[in-house]
Amino acid sequence: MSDRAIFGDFVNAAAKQLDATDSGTRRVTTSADVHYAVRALLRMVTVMSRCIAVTDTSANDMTWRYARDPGAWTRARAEARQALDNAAEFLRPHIRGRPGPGISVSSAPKSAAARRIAAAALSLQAGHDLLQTHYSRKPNGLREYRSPWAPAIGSDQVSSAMLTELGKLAHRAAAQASGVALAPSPSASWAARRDLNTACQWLWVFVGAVRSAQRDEPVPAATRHLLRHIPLNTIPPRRVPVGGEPVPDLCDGVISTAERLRRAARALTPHAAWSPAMTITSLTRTAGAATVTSHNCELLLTTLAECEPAAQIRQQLLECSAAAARARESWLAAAYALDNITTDTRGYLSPAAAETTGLALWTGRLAFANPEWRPSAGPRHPARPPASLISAPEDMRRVVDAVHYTCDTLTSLARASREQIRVAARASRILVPTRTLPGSIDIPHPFAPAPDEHIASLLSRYRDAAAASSQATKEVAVVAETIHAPSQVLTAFREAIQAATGATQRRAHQANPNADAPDRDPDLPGPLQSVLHQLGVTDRDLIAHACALDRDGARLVIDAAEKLSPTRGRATRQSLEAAPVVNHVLASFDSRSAAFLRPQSPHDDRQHEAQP
Amino acid sequence: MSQICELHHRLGRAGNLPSVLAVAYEAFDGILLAIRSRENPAADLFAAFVMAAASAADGRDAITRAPSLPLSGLSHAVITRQAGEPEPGIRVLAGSVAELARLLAGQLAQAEQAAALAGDQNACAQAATCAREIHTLLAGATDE
Repeated sequence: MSDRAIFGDFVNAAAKQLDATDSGTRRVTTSADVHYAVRALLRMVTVMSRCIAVTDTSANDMTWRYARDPGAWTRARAEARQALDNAAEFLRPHIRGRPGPGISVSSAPKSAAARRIAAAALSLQAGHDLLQTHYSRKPNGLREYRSPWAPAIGSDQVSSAMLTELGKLAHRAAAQASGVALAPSPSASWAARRDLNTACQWLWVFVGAVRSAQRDEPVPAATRHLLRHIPLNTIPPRRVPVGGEPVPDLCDGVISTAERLRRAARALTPHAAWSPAMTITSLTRTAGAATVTSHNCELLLTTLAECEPAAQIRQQLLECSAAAARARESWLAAAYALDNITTDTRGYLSPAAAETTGLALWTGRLAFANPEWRPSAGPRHPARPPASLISAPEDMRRVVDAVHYTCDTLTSLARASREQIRVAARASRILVPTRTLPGSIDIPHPFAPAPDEHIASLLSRYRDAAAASSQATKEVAVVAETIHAPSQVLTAFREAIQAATGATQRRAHQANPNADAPDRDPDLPGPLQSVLHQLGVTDRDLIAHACALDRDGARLVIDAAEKLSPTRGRATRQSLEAAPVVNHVLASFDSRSAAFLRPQSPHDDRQHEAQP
Repeated sequence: MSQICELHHRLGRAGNLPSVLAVAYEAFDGILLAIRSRENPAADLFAAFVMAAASAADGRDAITRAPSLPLSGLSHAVITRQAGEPEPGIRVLAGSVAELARLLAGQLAQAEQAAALAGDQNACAQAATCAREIHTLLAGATDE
């Protein structure tokens, strides 16, 4: 799992590009600089729109989403889309022509800012493509899920986290591009510079909308962590333990097998009505292997509780172990219930059954001292000693990770198996031997569809297995959170899935004003602060004073703008001379600052321009 | 324990295909019952027993698909202990079941060869595979 690319890799790469600064200060902008900055920013804006679209799901989900009282993030999403559309509208007219007399389109951009924005857009496009691997298109054009991550990507939580991440990038990109637009230029088109700057201003409107929503309903750090950890949708290769692997390798084997099983389990229900692999063979092997896997988790958690580094969380681990034991009992009860039924086809082994057997083997190799452990009987197999399980500080997190993924996967498996049986029963594929039916029922065949009470009993056993496995997962999640194991992301993942399906209400956000503190957006320097920087002033008191004056100036402009006539407002917006102040006003993210642009649309301004 | 021994004895005497199938059905049923009553997570044969039970249930199911299985005379195994008979140790039980499974696999393989109907051949082959799995899972139980 750790080898797979994740969305956060590309967001980080984009942010790194945009955070880079020039080695030398460029004082003059050329026509080519502006041209390439326009192209790069348009690419960035386009990719951002695509990223927002990825987190919107199907039409049904959208209907459900908007049918509710529109919350802060629903409004922010709408405003963000509008702001990006407007930014793109200002940029598009300037990419059609040549960059300027005597400048080749194919020549490399001279502006470092344009290069950085283009590179950031490319990184973000790669991140967008990674998210798209979780979806495919049906023949009728509708989007369908291709992985267990897909519903989470379309959830409200992840959608909000996406806006938060994009807001940070938009702020940085606008700062870079406005620098190109506002630098003195003897040759560049005035209109192109003006529209480039206006596009930046719309990006700040976008950032302001996100900031406002973030203040009202902060996106939990765990949800942003979840978005960043969405992996590329690939199936990990099947691994078979060879014996003698160290604990980290065994943990990797457990996690990758759990991932394969989770995917295989997703295919159980859609195919249950017809698949020849829906057999009693698959059902019994799956239930048996899940029982053994739960037992192995119980052993692992007991051993962890005996480890010296786990002294602080010993009681928690013992409670986890007890929960895993209850899951084992529930799976065993499901296996018992299968003793009395059969299916219309037999012999085939489903991929889910094969992967469950693999998971039992991997967890067994981790839980037992024998490096060649198998479920088969043999000389007594003692559990792995605590010192062997946790021989390095990182092993504790690795083992908890492995157990957490396993319990979570068993929960998915129990739910999928239950649904599979329900669908198969509806298709009359779950049978019982005729001789086990009451004598009054005369059926001239050896098997008959299982009576409803058989099915109900079977389904209730699987419901119990799902509930017990889910409880074990929750208990292990508490430990994972305590020791900051990477598997914490599973908790956010489950919550996102539940919210996406509307099964549960969104968890109440607990406002955490410090959630954003570690990676707060860099403030855009105001006009006075910029002048001090250009003069080479480094005195902190002077810079702080300039910041205060810039802030007061921004407030003054916002107050004044509310009283301006539309004509005067338009003139101010279009003035490059006023642009440094206007940019600073917008980048202050005062909730009223967006009104400075709002009456304006690209169309309106062009119409006005066309008038004499 | 005595039932497992009796099934072993009856299986050895079964001559024609219907009787082999009937006793094989009872043998798988008996193995399943014997194992289910002793699945104890505290014992170190827990994993072997759980997986062997899955194979036993599957083997019994395979036999029921054989066209030549005489449905009318089919009986379920009943595991009882005679008065005064001590409960066998879990490893002793596993060893006995493994032996019965080994004999079962051999008899079913022979029955597959002798069967004329494809349905009987398939059923015997699949059930023999299940019996071999049970033997593999439990055969090492008496190695200490």
